[in-house]
Amino acid sequence: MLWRPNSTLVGTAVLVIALAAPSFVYPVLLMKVLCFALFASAFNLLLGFTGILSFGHAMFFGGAAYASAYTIKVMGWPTELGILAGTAVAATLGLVVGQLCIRRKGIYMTMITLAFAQMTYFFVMRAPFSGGEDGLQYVPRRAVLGVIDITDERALYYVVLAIFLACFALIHRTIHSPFGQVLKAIRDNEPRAISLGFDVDRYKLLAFVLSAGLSGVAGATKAVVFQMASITDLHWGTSGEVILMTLVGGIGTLFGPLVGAAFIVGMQNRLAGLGEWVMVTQGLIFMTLVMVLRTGIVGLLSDLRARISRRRTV
Amino acid sequence: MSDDFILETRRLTKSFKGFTAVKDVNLKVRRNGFHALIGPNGAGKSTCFNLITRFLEPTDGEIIYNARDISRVKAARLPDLGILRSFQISAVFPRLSLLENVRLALQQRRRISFRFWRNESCLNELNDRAESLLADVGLGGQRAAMAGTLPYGSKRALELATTLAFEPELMLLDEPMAGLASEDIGRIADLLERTARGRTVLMVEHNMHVVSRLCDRITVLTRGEVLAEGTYAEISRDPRVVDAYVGRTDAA
Repeated sequence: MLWRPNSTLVGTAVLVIALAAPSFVYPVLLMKVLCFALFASAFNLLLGFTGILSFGHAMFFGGAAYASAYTIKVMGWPTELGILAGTAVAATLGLVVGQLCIRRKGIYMTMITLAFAQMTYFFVMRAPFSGGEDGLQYVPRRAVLGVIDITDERALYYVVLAIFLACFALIHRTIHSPFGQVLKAIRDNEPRAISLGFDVDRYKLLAFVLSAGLSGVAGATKAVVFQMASITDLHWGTSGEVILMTLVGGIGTLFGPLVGAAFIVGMQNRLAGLGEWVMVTQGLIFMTLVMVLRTGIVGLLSDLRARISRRRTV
Repeated sequence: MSDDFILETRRLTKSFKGFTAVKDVNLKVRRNGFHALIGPNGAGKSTCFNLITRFLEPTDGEIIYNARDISRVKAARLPDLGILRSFQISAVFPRLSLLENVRLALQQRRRISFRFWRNESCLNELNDRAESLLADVGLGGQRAAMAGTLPYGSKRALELATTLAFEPELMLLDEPMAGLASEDIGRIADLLERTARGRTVLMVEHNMHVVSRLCDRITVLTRGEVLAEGTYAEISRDPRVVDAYVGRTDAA
């Protein structure tokens, strides 16, 4: 018998597990995984499906975290509006940075994203409203839509899960849309895409803004979950982390970033007891993974599946 | 300007820092003809080609297409005007299927390409047309294969199918035979001859067998300037051309 899972079945199973998960795992850890999974998926829309490597995605993630923390804590906005504000700030930032970097190619483009991210980092660090190195703490968890009490961590988990699913569905649709076809064409062969009449800069810019905005949703949601916006969200290390999550999980696959995010957040959680040796251990694990699994964990799984089904049909 | 000519360059010039790659080139491409641009290495063929296809900005001069100056038009606008180019290295989208490759060209003309919220199944109405284009170039029945897995000759055929989806008036081919195995050259030349009938073709090509067979008009470039123009018979008798091609004429 050939084991061939259909996607509806797998989807339902994953959903059931996701709904039941807070009974078995600490909800805050799960929410952290969801936020980073969304962040990595948004990043992968650029790296995996458009061929743009940004090394500054922390500015969208962290920028949105600060915007939502500020609007909710200082301006007294409701939670959902605070998240929207964070998203809008990230998307606007994406529009500006995208305009300036997509005309460049390769490493030059990447360096521009890094430069802007560093500027954002130092600006927020020095700005009078950001709390400097402390960040913005004690962000209140106001009831979502006025009725859902999110001071209860399980309730908050389901809100975060809903946000994640909605955004993930949007990413899935974008990849499988007429627009997504053009993105993949640009990734595969940009001069040919131009010669077929696609104004590639406009497609790249829209992809950039979508990716920035969705990274913003992730960052803003994280600020609500942890009740704080922290300067590490803007640090270049966060930009590096999201690249690693995508690499480890599998570039250009739909589920790779989710697996990568779960793997890395879970690992950091497990290794927390090692103290100073965390970084060294992490480094070794990454080196091994990147050298052994060039297509990431999801790539490995689909290779295995293809090999098994081939053996069975022979 | 007469309607006989679909494309004309007037004093087309391109200088890179102190070096003039293309100098005062006046080229006239007759409608519905096959026109070749030949010349020894470094003659400026590719630069000239990239100027006409708008991948490079001219330093001076004009490019007139159907009585319209296109020397400042964006490259991505040319397909809308009926001009399609190909590349020296076969240009397919390797991680898309054959069907998707051709469908992208059809999709471009529908103006739905920014709709990231639409399901790609809305593109299925283009499948029949895409499949018939694939069948035209001998790739029928392989629609689901990934373009990257095709042998090189078939990639050329796929590229041609994608180009033909636009029903272009003018096809600009950059060394269409480059890199092809000898048994594929005849096949692709046949295909070009058949599918490009009723259109105009301007090609840069090194293979003189192909040029003599397909092209009714030939322009020879050397050192960025037009050396001679005429039919294959005229060109091959021209002593200046023989001179420029020393060691090559016997190959032709």
